[in-house]
Amino acid sequence: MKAFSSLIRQEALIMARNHLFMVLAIVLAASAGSIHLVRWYDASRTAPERPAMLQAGGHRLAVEYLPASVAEPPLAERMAVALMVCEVLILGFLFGSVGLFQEKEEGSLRAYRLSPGGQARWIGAKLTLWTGLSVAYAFALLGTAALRLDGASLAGIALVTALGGCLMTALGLAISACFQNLSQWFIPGVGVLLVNMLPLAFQGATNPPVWLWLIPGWPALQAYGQLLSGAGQAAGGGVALSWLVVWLLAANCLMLPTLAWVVRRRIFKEARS
Amino acid sequence: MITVEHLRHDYEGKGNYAVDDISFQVPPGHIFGFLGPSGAGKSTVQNILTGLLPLQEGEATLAGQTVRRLRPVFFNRIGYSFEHPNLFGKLTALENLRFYAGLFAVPTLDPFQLLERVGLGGSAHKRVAQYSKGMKQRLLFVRSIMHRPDILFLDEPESGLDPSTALVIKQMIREERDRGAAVLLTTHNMYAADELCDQVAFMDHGRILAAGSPRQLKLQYGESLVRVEYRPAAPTSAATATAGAAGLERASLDLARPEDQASLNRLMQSARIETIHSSEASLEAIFIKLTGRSLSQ
Repeated sequence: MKAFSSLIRQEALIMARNHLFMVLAIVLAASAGSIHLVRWYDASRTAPERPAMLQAGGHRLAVEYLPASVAEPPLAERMAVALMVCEVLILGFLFGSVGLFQEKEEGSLRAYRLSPGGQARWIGAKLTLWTGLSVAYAFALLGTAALRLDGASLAGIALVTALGGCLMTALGLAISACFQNLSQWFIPGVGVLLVNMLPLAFQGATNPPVWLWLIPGWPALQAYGQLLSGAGQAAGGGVALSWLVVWLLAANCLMLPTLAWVVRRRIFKEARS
Repeated sequence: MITVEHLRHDYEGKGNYAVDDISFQVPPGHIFGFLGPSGAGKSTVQNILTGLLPLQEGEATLAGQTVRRLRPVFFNRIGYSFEHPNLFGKLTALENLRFYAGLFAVPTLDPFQLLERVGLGGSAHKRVAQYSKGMKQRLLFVRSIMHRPDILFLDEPESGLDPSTALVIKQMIREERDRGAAVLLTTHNMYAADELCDQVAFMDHGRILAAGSPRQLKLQYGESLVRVEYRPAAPTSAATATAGAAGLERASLDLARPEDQASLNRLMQSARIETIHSSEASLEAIFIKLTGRSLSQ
């Protein structure tokens, strides 16, 4: 436990000195008051009261319900929440990778390999830190609006963010482990991020293509949409929230052993140093 | 105890061995020095022993444990200081040491006291990225000994150090030896090796060319010369021309040769000798004799 907490403290300290928290503060300040969720509802169904209350309270999270007959809203409006969601989920993907390359460049990763720390703690500390930061960041983005959500929705947001953040951090670390430095990683890494952004183009679509389910951002996006506009409500006959959580859980179950395998082969047991 | 038997390593798998059939032992409480120029294979041996490189051929054990399967917990017993600094540049020296101290499951020495001992107390709260090479070297060294390891790997520990700091580091290395640690010192600094090591091995092109205590090697490979400075028998213009600044003549006499022994006897009886020194071979000279090239090449 001592080694684990030491690892988390060290990772957080380095990220603080990399001005991560300043960057997040700027993003938070810039996003203040701009989070606007637009959803359609079936005219035969009653719109839930809670989102309306949020809207009336003038809080930062505004949820606007449009009848199904209304024309599609402007793209920028539809993407506001989606962008928020993606920033939260890619936190560990981006900064975890940057941290890894920094450790490779400084040689501190090599030094760690000759310590009793071990691979499991190294991976665990990174996932714990970035998952925790993702959850904290998600609530910071929601701001005071989070206070008006019920406990189940808050827990749902925390769970989805934790699962999505963990998945993306693990994916980011697994990809970064295969490259020597940030320059080599840049094109493939950004490529993965671009692919992960594809769901944004289909946010709110009534018949999204099936292949979207191969992209980690898609189920998280669906889950957030449901949680913010009424817990568990599947818009337009979408997949139930519980299944979205199961999807994220299953993806983590696949990703974590893959990460452990890649890290063991590429970092902890590399053939040449 | 470090035990290496018939160790071989081929990076490319093409039969070009970077380390070729080397064997040695470092018992507890001993300092073993690897002497050799860059590319001789010293660092490869160290990397194999620490598990950074896979063991391909031969056998190597640390405290009876094969290096083929070193579990993380075993690193509680190993300390290392590599020539190239591998520290967290964004953290201060104290934060670096506290982080590593947190990884060990054994008691560690007080980081601040260690920093003070090597003259870094005043820079303990300075980020390591701002450190000079010598400061980083000192920090690496104290990091390597903070958990009191049984086995210590030191790669060029004096690199970039001023003479007074080098003295402190050498003293601390001796203290580790006296505590019972087995120390493997890799260097191309023959003076450091001569001062510190109980045993040394000359390495070149992946092979150990000669091994033994520095004294034993000097006796084995050195020449039994005596260098004498003496006053000329009768000051002549020719003698003055060959004499040194003080008007003395010099001679190197090989005690293995009867005629030189006789010359020395005559000089001693004449009471004209001003200085007399035995001439031991240096480790550098032995290396040149064995390989035909210098350690720094």
